[in-house]
Amino acid sequence: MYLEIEGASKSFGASKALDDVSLSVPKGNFLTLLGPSGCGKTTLLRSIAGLLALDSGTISVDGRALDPESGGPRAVMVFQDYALFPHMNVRRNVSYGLKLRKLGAQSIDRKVDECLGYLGIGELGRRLPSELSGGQQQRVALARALVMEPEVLLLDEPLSNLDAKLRLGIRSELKRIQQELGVTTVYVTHDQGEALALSNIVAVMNRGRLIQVGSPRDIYYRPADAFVADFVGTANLIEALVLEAGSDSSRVSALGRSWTLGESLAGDQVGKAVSLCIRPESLRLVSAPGPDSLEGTVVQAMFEGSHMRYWIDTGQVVLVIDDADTRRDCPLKSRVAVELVPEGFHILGDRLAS
Amino acid sequence: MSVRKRRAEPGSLAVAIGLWGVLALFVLYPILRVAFYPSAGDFRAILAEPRYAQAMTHSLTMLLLSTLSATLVGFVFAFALTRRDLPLRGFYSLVSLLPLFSPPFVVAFGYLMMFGKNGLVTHGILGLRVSILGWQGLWLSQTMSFFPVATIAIRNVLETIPANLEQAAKNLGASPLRRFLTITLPLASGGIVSAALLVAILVLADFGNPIMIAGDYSVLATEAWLRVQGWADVKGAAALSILLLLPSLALFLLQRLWARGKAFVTIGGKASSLESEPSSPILKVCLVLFCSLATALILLIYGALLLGSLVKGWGFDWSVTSRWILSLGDQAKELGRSLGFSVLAALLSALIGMTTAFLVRERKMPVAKAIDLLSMLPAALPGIFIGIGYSIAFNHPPMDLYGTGLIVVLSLAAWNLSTAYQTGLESLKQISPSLGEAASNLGAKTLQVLVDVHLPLLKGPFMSAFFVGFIRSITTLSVIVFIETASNAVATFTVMNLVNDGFYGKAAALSVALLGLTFLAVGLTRWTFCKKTWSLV
Repeated sequence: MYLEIEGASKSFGASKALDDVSLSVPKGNFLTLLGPSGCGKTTLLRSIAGLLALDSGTISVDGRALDPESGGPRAVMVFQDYALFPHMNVRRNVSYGLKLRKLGAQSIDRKVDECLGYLGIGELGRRLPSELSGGQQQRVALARALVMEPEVLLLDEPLSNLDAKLRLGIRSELKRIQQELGVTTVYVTHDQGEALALSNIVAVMNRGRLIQVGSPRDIYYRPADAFVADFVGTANLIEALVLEAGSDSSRVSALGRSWTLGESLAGDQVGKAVSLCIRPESLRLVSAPGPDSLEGTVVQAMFEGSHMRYWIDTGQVVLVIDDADTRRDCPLKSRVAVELVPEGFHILGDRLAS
Repeated sequence: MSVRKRRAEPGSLAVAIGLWGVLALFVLYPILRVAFYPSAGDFRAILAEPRYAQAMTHSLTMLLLSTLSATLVGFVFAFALTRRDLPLRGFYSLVSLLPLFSPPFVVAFGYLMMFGKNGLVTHGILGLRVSILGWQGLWLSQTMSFFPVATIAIRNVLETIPANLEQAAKNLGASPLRRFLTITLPLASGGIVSAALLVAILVLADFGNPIMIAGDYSVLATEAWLRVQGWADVKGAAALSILLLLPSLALFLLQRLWARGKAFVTIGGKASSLESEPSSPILKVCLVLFCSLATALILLIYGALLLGSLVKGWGFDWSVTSRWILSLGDQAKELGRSLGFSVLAALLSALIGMTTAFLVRERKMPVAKAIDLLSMLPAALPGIFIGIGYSIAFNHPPMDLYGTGLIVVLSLAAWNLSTAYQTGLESLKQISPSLGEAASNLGAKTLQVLVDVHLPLLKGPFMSAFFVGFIRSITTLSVIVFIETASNAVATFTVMNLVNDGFYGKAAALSVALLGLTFLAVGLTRWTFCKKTWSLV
């Protein structure tokens, strides 16, 4: 593996910021560390950047320890507040790291020009950071890191200081740049939307531990536990009883029905309670009740632009449903039918966290 | 926050060790020397003399009186200055700063010339034969000397109270008086107490005012000086200065603890942009009257000095003469020393204070806690304590600095260290830690980070530390009075001697020259260095 983190642990006083975290990332991949604040994602990022020393564990790139001073591989970071040197203009900011590497003036100039041009800020070279917009500052920060041709690019919530519209624009640009340059990237965010949209690999963290590592689709549709299910997107978590367990199919019952699902369960789970994770868009509103549907009352409705979100009380449970058909505007307290589509059901590894 | 812990970098370690040595030798050592200089017997002898018990009572009385009055005047003045619709606001603000740029004894000297036995107002105009020599005169001149300190501190606090709080109270139906009593005053109370404690430390350590105007009403600081002057009893003076140090230390600790506890006052951080309410006409009239009286009392001092330097014999011969101005040539040396020593001392303290602040903050300093304490300590030391410390510690080999300019520069630098250190810490706090981390992440070592990132951003704070150090150095009398000889005398010392010997004209001319020099230097520094400042966010 290219970026290899093994048994990383770090404590601040009594609190464990990182608790035996191991991760490997193939070259050119985009890894996102996702989790609530205080989960350890930033600590891990800063450890990779060399800004923090681990209590134990190792971080290596291509089998070598990260050590920028003796010419080893570099992990260069883009800071959340950009950390642009306020007294240096854009060119001096971007060339700062190259100068420390004692490159010749000519090759520094060439690299800086190339990088600024690539990011579309070639004409801003003489401006001071205070004379730039938020989006431009963001680009300069990115340029300062990219110009170093780092083995690993580190991004610490780089979009959090931008307004919503700009954030979407830069998000897609970031993805394009990363794909074009093929630079191995570690990205930290608490925004699950960013994580799903940008990464090849998502690592969900909580309380200093790694909870689940997988593709965005895995994380979204097959969350490891209730925490991941709840943190990434919205989930209906429903208690279910295991009727049959198997390695590629299991049978569970809930809400007065039972289904055979293509998921594996250990044999000793039979007769025990598990939780089913059902995404809001995996449930469908139907005009007439059928054999696989439940009836309920609309208790809350929100127009979200691209879809309607309903909260529907079936008597046993309140289900959250996203309806793509926004023209069907079900009024509050109206009776509706909900179709349960077992393809979208996922059995969580742990019990329902009550 | 913490920058990477890598192998110890020899460069920054060497600097840290060097600083340790400097602080130990020039801050800690003189203090310890004073502390262990007098024997228990010396203390007993001092305490047995009723004269010193009385001086102690006087010191504490003035501490109470002057602190209260200076804080009160300072508060009203600050409150007036925060009213944006106050007429002549800029003028009042400017004049209230003048005492800060003047030696404290200048205030006392000015009042002596106006209200003394031969005073222009009391004798010349009213024909009275009274004198304000004594506690009344001391009270007046200490109040006028130190209220500007309170004004600045309290004004800062008042301006950080978000205007929208007052507007919320108004919106809820509170009258202006009620808003003042329930919103402004409680939120400012922490800052007011803090300002009072700052003033108290200054009053307690004050030497210039009492030596000029207190007459027989002697206080601890002047008694220590007289002990050396009259009896050549340095041990006794050291004992007296320790008696002065103890309450000063207590006030200092109280001030620090208080400031820490009341951190909430700075909620807004920046002056709020909302316009404050228009003041009622009655309030306006009262504030204008008050500010006019206070500024008149300040301007009177400078009027007296200017006039004094132009008339032949103050109090008896009012004919105009250029004699005193022309005789300034005799004092050119002292003026030159004042300027040179102060510049050097201010540079030294700014340099050491800021570097220490950087190393302490970036945790690159072994035993940072002790360094922090040592760097803060001089702020708690009365000027005469430092002066005595230096006169005892550096008057014999291997460091015999008796009568040299170096001892003056070093003592002033040590005295100013805390101000520079604190300025450094405060401004470093404003620099986002990620800036240093970014440089370090790009491959810079600790000292490189200091040079590339922090130093350029600290230019402004460095200048302000230098500036404050310079003003404090050029105006002080208490620090230097114990180490002055003919060969290293500065202007303030000479003015004191001239006044004591009754040469008012000469003293006034020299004071005017010193003030002129100070203002000129201040103007030049501002003009040279105010080209460009970066926002430190």
